[in-house]
Amino acid sequence: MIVRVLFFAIAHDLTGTREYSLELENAATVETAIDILIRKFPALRQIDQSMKIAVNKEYAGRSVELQPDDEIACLPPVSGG
Amino acid sequence: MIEIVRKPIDLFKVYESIVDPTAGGIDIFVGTTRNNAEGKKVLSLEYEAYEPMALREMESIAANARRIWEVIRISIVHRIGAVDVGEASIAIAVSAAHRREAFEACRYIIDTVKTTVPIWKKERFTDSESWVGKSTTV
Repeated sequence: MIVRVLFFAIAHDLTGTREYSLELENAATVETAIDILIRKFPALRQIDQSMKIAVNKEYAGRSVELQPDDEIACLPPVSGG
Repeated sequence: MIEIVRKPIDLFKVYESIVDPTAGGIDIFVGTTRNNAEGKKVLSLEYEAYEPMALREMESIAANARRIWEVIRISIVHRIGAVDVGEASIAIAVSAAHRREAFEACRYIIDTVKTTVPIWKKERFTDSESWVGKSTTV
């Protein structure tokens, strides 16, 4: 299945892209997706511990199972306000 | 009024959006961009948002504030893009029958926005730039 991955702020700087189509096995988890993304974009490892993940615009834990066409967002520590 | 804007925030419009005849107090918090960070001079700031999610989170914070305090109206407006030093990057306005609820809800909203809403700030210095909330300078 294919999921759409979005990178913001420093995650965008580290990967050099804002968006990436990621191919995953069916029922893959957020954790698996992150592992594959780090292999593809090793610089992401720098923020792996501090980064939060959103699935379809809601914060999601790393054990969440993904569905085809999900929108996964890599969110570095926020600093709005 | 829950909005993300790319132009200067119209503070009077934010105020007008929460005026209500049953209100006895209105609290407005305005976050502005500071000209210094960690001892260095900041030239300008740039905000980026994951807009659809940021709006959802802002709506959800306002809904939570309504559950906790008896407030009448709530507005949250965040500006993104380039924001010059001294300009407003966020305005939060709360009207309530009594000032205590207005103050407390307003404080809760800004504190929560800063920890959960997917918006990021980049500080531009004379010789470098960096995302706030992360030590790596790119």
